[in-house]
Order: sequence, then C-alpha cells, then structure tokens
Amino acid sequence: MGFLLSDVRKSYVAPDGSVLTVLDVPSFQIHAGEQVALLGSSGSGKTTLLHVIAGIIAPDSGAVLIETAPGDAAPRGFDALHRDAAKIENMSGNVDVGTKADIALLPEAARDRFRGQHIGYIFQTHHLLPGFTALENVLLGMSFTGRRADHAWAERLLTEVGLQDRLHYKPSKLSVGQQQRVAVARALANRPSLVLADEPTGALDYANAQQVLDLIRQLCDEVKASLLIVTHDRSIAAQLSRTVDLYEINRAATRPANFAAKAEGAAR
Amino acid sequence: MNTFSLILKNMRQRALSSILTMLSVALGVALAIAVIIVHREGDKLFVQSDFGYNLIVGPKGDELRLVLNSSYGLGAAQSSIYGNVYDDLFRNQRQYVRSAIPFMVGDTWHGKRIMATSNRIVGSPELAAFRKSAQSAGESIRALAKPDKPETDEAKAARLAKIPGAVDEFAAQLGAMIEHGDGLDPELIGRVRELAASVGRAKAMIDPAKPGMVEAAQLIAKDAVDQVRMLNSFAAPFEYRVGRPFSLAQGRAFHAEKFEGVLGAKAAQVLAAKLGDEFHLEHGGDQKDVHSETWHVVGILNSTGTAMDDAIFIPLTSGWAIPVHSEAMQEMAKVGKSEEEIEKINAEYQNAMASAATQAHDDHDHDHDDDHDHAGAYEMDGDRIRLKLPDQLRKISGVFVTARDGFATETLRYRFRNLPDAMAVSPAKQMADFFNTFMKGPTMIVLGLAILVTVVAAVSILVSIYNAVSARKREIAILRALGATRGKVLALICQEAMVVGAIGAVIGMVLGHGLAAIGGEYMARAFGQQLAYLSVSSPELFYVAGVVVMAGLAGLVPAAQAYRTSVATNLSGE
Repeated sequence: MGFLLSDVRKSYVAPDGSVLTVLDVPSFQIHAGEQVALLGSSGSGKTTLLHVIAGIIAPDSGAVLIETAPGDAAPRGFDALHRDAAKIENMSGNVDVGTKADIALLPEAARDRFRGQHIGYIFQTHHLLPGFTALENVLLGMSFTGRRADHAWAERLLTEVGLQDRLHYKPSKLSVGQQQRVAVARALANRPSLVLADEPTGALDYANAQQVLDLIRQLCDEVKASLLIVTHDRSIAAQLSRTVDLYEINRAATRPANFAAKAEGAAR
Repeated sequence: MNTFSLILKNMRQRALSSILTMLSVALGVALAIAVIIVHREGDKLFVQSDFGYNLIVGPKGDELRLVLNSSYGLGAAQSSIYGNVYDDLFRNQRQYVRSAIPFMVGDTWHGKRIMATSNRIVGSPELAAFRKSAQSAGESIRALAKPDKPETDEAKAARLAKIPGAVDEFAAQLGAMIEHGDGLDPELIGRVRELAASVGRAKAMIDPAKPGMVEAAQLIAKDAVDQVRMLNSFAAPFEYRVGRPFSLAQGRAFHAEKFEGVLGAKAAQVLAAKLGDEFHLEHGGDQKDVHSETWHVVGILNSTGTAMDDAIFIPLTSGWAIPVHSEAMQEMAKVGKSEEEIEKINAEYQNAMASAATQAHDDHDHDHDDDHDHAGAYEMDGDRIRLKLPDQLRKISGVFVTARDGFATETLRYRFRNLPDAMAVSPAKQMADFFNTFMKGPTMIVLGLAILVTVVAAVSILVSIYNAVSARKREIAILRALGATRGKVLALICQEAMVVGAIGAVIGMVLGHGLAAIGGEYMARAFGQQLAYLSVSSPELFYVAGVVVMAGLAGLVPAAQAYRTSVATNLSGE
C-alpha cells in the first residue's frame, strides 16, 4: 500500500490569535514497501506530518491518499474504509488498476480504526504502558483491530527483537534499549502497511540505536510494510533507500541556520 | 488482550484507590440492603402476620398495647378482665370459637415474663390422649344419631336396639376421660363432667318401651356430639403460628393445679434452668417483691422463634392462688360498686375463705413454709392447690382466641365492641397498623439516607476515576495512537466505573446481609422474631443493578475527560 500526500496544509491558532501554519506539503509519496528517511529537526513540522499520515489529526486541506498498486489485493479493512469514507476517489474509475482513498476525509473514529489496522507507530520514547508486561504491551497493540490477539505472533516478534526471556517483564525492569525494542515489536503487532517512526533511536546510544534501526528495517521487510523514519541523524538516514529533506517538501518549515541539509533524492 | 483484562489491569495499577472506592460503594450498598431486608422482613413479620390465633380478648383500652403486651411481652398489661368473659367464649360463643386460651401476665422471674395460663398451651401427650378419647367417644355417641338418609324399619329397629349399649359405652368413655384427665385444664374436665351428667340424665330417660323417649334421647345425644366436637377443638394444641404448636424439648406439661412451670426455650437458656429447679415470682416485675410460693420447673419448650420463647408458663390456678393476687381481685371487684354490693362481695369472699379453711387444714400434709399467711387464698391438698377465690372474682389479662373462620373473627370483634369492659383485637391487623405507622416512616428515611450514601459513593467513583484519568492522559493518548477510538476509550472508563460499582455492590450485599443478621438478632431479642436475613429479594437485585448503572453514569464524567484527551498534545513534548 502506498501513501500520497497532496497539498496538505495544517495550521494552528497561536495564543495571541495569529494563525501559524506548520505544514504545507504540496506533494509527498511513499511507495509500497519503500523505506524512506525524512530529515528534519524540531520545528520542521515532522511530528505533525506523521500525525496527519497516521490520521491522528486531520489536515485543514489536502488529501492523504492510500493507494493499492495494480494487481495488489485490497488492503485489510479496505472495505470498511469504503463504508466509512465520506468520499472515495477512484482515480482511474476501475478498481482492478488500483484504488485510492482519502484518509483525511474519513471521520475520526474511522481514521482511528484505519490506524489500528494499517499503521504502526514508533515514538522517540517507547511510550509503553507501565502496568503491562512486554508481552501485554505488544498484545495491547492488537487490541483495537477488531481481530483476536495473535499470541504466537506477539511472542515471535519479541523473540525477533531479542526479548524472548523478558516476555513478562514490566517496562521498568527493562533497559531503555529493550523498552524501545518492545515498542518496535508493538508497532509491528498488526502487520501494518506503513510504520511511522518518530526519532526512534533518539534516546539511545549508538550501539543500541543501530540495533533498533536494523530491527525496524528487518521487520518492516518481513511484513512488507513501508517505513517512514523521521530523523535528524544523517548516518541513520543514509542507510535507508531514500532520504527526503523535510524542509524541501514542507514549505511552512524554515530551515535553521545550523541545519545544513543536502537531501539526497528529491521530494516528489 | 480483551477489554475486561484491560480494565482489571487499570484497576490493579491503582489498587488502593480502587479498593477504597469499592469500599465506599460497599458501605452505602450494605446500609441500603440491610434496610431493604429489615423492611421486607418486618413486613413479613408484622403485616402478613401468621399468628396462630386470630384475636386477643382483653380489657378495653389501647388495642396496640394489648397486642404488644400479650404477643410480644412488651410493656405492662393495662388491666384485667373477669374470667366470665372467657367462660362466655367457652360456652356461649362456641359456634365462632375453635379454641381459646386464657392467660394472666404481670409477674416475672429474673426479668422473664410469667404467663399464668391453661396447660393446653403446651402440647402434651396427656392432651393428645384426651383428644383421642374425645374422638372415639364422639364415634360411639354418633351411632345414636338419626342418619341423614331414610332408613328401613328394620334398620331403625336395629339402631334403636343399639342405643342403650352405645350410651353406656359413651358414659364409660367420659368416665375414663375424667379419671385420666388429672392435671389437665380444669375447664376441659369440668366440661366432660357436665356432659357425663347430662348423659346420665338421658340414660335414665331411655326406655325403648315408651314411644317418643327414644327421639328425646336422640336430641340429647345430638347435643352431646356437638359438645364432644367442641371439646376436641378446645383441646387442640395452641398454635403460636399457623400450624405450629408448642412442643416440649424436655419434661412434661405443668399440672393445672400444682406449683409447676414450663419454660420457653430462651428463658431456660438464659436462666440456665433445668428440670426440677425451683423458682419464684416477682410481683409486677419488681425484683425486690418476691411472692413466697415456690414453683418447680417440670418442662422446657422447643424454640419457636417468637417472643413466647422468653416466657415462663405456669398454671392459671397457681397465679390466682397468690394471696396478693386474690386480695387485689377482691378489691378490684368493689370498684364502682354501691355499698350494698360491696358488702355482698365482702361477705362472699369471707364466706369462701372461711368454708375452705374449715374444710381443709385437718389432714393435708403442708409441705412448704408456713411462715406466711396463705390461708386466705388457697389450701394445699397434698401438692395440689385448692383455690378458695370465688369463681366470679377470678380475673385474667386476656384470652388468645382462634376463631372458626374470617366471618367468626369479625362477629366476635363486633360482639366485643359492644361490651363495656372487654374488647377483641386482631393481632395481625394491629401489628400491620403499627408497622405502617411507626416503622414504615423511619425505614423510608433510613432508606433515603442509604440511597444518599450510595450516591456519595458513586461520586467517589467519579472522583477517583477522574483523578486517575487526569494522571493517565498520556496512557490514554497511547491507546488512541494504537488505534483505540474515542468511543472505545469512553466505554473503557465507563466500564471500569461499572466494574468498581459492581464489585462494591456485591461486597455491599454480603455486608448488608451481615448487618441484617445483626439487626435480626436484635429483633429476635426485642420481639422474639427472627429475620430471614439470608434470602435475596428482587428489590435488592434492582437496587444493586441501579448502583451499577449509577456507577457507569458517574464514570461518564471522567470518561468524557478521557474522550477529549488529545493524542497529539499528550504524546508530544518528548
């Protein structure tokens, strides 16, 4: 499943009454299975962009289109999406050559369900629930899809991230790196179409950061999920198939003086 | 991970707060449930009332007081009525009366109420044997009666031929009843004696040779059949509740004319009394004023779960015998009388005392202390009391009456309403009125308070979960980020509130039944009535369901807060 942002704008009203535009993205695309790094620092609108893609917030204008490639099976939940969508754009008029749906047009609850089923989210800090064990946190990720929780898959994910002997540890008993690995497993719990990672290694030392990044990439490959990592770390960005300079795709962002970015590859 | 385990996890994370909240719900519910149970059981005990007797006949006055005093042993007896009121019931109202038991109250032993009464109140083998004889006597006399169907001349001749034999048999049976009736209620034996006398007269008349005499004998026989039937119903054991007579756990029923007593189960237990123990009577409940007569415990009753368990039963004769009582009765008889009448009463009394005194005192073995003057009231004949008090002076506190049916009950009530000194009161109706007037109001207030407490408990659910939601905004945002809709979050919080409410309510129900058990114990002490505090009724279940719904509603406030939690705001700031 591919994602296409088209003329997405998001503004906030500042306390003094002035309108502050944080997002103005004419066009940005993630192809199915692609692993993209988005380079930007704080203030570049990166979190807002991820929230818009994830459907956590709706843009003021523009479309967040999901697209199945010709010949691909319709993604899980797509039918439901059709039912929920206020307006479905079928670009070609023919389902067989791929469908498009605008997430931005969906009501909030439908966006929430879509997120639960198709998007995995990894935060800079793990955001695990403290009262739940590692396994329970992963199972929790499966709780809002309307499907039965898949224990075996949850355990396998935790095994893949190297926590097979820490299944029943609560987050407070795990190291920071281990916590983030649980978060990675949780993000992959529903075999999502897209994994959004917001500075996923920001809180980790170099060795842990590399390990976590490798795990994210490897697991995304395994479930054939697209990956969008927002980072300001060029060494991380360099490892992905494509790097996009956030300042180039977001016209609302002002590049700080010290952010000498030279994005490789062009934003489309 | 299903919704329920998610809720339990949340609750476990803040166990103390959850437990305290549940406890506050439990306390409110417990109070309300206890009130509901006491109310329900009170209704059952007082309003539906299954008293084994329909009426209490007593002195005119406060009807409720008569019932509270007679049936529950509360307060003092108001006054007394003449024994002839009872005689009238026994003889003239017998078409309405199935059974009637006179009693006299006022004295105590160690604070336990003394009820001087007929020994018919205690079911005994002697009484059962008496009834059996009455029944078979009835059978033999019935042979005399004219059959309903027309009979052939031959059959009639055969029946008439049997008459002399049947009368003889009947007379013999009555004789045996008198002989074996020693110690039974003198009323019963007196009736048998009267019957035997009239049968004797009938027997003398029967001469088959004289035409018409047979018919006359049959009329007398018909009356005899009636009398036997009445004897039978009068000798039926007293029922404290419908279908439940007293029964002896130990010993036997007291002799009608001896200083003997039978103790209620509770009285026996509290006084640690056993068969053969001696006891005395405290006059009017005053523990310093003890009558000098000595009674012996001859029986202990099984528990009945009523106030009667707290009483001590002695023969009416022994109650009348107490000199102070006799004198008081004589004095009472003079109240409101003209001088001429008073003189007459005095003369009668003196006469009765004197004749008894000369008659006795020659050869009876006077086996108890002679340092008091009881000569004025009674004589001892062996261990038997020979009462000197004239019949017309004998007074009682009241009569427990079992009417034949509802119509009879009303007729009797009406008759007594028109009498100057006595009244007949329905204990069931009085207690229903009493409950509705004095108990219902306060119970409703307590119930109102209990509901208020429950509402406060619901507010405590609200506050506790509200605080938890405030503290867990980030967690809620995480759930949202994982795909939980606002509606799901709202439902989760409401369900958590309902689970807290439900667990609290269930604990409260258990506690409430415990409270009711304590209340029941109190009721048992005050009224001698046990509460069925274990049974669960539908109002309770409705209440508990209401509490759960209310908890859910209380959960709506924090749930709305959770509903509004912004994912973007609460997940950023990292």
